[in-house]
Amino acid sequence: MSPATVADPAAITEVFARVPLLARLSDRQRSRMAQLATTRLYDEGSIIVKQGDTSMALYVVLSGRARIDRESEAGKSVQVDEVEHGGFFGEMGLIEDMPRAATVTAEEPTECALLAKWDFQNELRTDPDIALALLPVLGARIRELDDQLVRLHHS
Amino acid sequence: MSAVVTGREKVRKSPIQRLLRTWLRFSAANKFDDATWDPRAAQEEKLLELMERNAGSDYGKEHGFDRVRSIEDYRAAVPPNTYETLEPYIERTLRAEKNVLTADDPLMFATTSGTTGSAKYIPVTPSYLHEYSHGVHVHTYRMFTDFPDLLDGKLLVPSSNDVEGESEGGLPYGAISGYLTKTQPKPIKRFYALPYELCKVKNVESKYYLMLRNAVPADIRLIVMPNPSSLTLLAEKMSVLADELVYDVRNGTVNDAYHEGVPEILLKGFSPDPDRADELERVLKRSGTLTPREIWPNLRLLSCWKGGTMPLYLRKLPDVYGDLPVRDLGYMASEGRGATPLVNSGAAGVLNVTSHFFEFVPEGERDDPNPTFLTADELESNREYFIYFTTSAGLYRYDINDVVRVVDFYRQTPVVQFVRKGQGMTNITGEKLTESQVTGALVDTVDSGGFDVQHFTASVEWGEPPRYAFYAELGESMARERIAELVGAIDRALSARNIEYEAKRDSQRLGPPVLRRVAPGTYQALRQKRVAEGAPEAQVKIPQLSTDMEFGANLEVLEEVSAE
Repeated sequence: MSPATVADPAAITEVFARVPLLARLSDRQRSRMAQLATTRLYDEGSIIVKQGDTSMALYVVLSGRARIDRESEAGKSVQVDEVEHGGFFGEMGLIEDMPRAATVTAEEPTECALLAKWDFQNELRTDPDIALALLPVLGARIRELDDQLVRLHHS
Repeated sequence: MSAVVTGREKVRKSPIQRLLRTWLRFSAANKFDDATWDPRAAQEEKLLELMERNAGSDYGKEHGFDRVRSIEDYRAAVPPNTYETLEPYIERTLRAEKNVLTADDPLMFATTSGTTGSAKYIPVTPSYLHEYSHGVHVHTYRMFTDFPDLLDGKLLVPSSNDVEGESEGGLPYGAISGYLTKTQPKPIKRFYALPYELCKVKNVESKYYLMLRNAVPADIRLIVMPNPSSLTLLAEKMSVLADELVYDVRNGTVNDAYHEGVPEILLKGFSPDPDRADELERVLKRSGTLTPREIWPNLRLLSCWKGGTMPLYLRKLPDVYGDLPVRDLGYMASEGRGATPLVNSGAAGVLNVTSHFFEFVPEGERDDPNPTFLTADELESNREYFIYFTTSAGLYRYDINDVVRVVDFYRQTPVVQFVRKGQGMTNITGEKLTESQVTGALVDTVDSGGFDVQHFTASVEWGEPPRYAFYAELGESMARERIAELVGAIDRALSARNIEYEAKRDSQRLGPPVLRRVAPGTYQALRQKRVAEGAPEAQVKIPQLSTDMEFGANLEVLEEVSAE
């Protein structure tokens, strides 16, 4: 099952603070985003999102645990991460328009908060300070990728 | 027309552009957007509106629409329908009887271009047209929002013929897209590169030439064609006809070879455009041919179907269109518009909860005597369902025979992707092979082996033992040894995707498949044949898994290679 559940904006605001992309927003901005989020419960074993599919939302885990698998070009699936309370996936999907990069499966009953890309971007349009707060986060992401590239080059 | 201006200088939006955006926003987009917070409420509202409006129709009276107060009441009052169960009512409507399925009279009948079977006629009433257009408007508004300069140039949106013939009662039947193009308000028409009358041209060669003749001089910003193979065909024709097009643009002429059977109006109105011709000639000299990527530098977006059997064709788009974003056109058919894509990634869209009323049956329960019917708010992620439409066309709990999968949620509303037709399944020895498995195996094979496969259809073939025959139009580079590799690789990929297929192949209850290379142009000829039979050109889909045992009977086979 993946039914909708009753959202608790305060709890979602708190968890959103752990998402790097949203971490530098003010409490007011995060609270506003939390108001726009919906929540959904996934049974153990159910696929929450699938690699290659349309990406419409950021998912933040409110409770439970989920496994993140990535399928290689050869078709082999490898677990790349696990997320639990406060963990998240699909955050770059809020900014770029790319299909899901991995498959996420609930390992136990898992509740997620979903923030739709459209709602996130609408907030961005109405409150440009959000965009400014995102710049250092994206800058850090670029530096991180650069470092990875350098490490790969020297390995 | 002067040369196409490149660059991203800010262009002041004209009043008509601003008006169009505002109208799309307030007439459709906002309503849809608000409804996605509570799909159950939106769906109940839609259903009750349909019941109230059509309570006085013969079907409404027979099934007590006036007593329907809830979704549960509706299910108790109305049985699930197929085209066959509604056909007696539709036939009466075709004879111009009034008030049969719906209170409002049809304006026309939309004919479906199903992969098999005879034509179906869907009554297009004014209220159905409103429901259908609602989805179009939401899609259009979102594209204009994400790509704000689309209307600074022209939109290339071919439509299909809305008047293929006349019903017994004197109403036209054909494609809804043609009707919508014909009835567009004049100020809106100016944004489109193609005249309505183009939909009347039956010959595919002439149609593509004239499409290009109209579009090549223009600054095209968006191309919408349902089938991605039509997008590649457009580019192919542009390349083949490059010299003729440059000549005609320079001289304001229309090539004589394409006059036959073409409405007079399509041959007039072209002025010499030497500036644009010079520009095209420079591209021709530089690249040796014309490609959409080069002649339309401001092209921002393509929109076409991306789900189902389309991935094979989608892969070819970057060769001629570069890395342009491609947005799915949405899950739609003559029977209704199921979903509207709001982003470019993937092939899914948000269920059109403000257009029609939808029900869903879990994929495995379809043949149960009492399957579970679910509403939009009850769907689960990554599950497949058969979808049932209730629309203002008089289709009540209508089984369209499509399987959709839930891939995400937009607010509380499911995001669905078309997977396959329910009938797109073959089963000779219990392998239950689906078209989506064939498409998946084919894409895996092409990706991993770099095979040049232009078109492909798998078909069953009786024998001792029975086997699959793969009909394929292949690139010139594909030598016999590569074809042997290809057929073996597809066989293995099918085994990997379908354990029953693998078991039947291992036990030799299914023989090794055979690949029959068909002559170049075979699939285009098949498309032309379907068009000649009355199918809208843009909607013709040659299946990648055919249940027709005679599929390959009349095809010109150049060589045959077995996986043995």
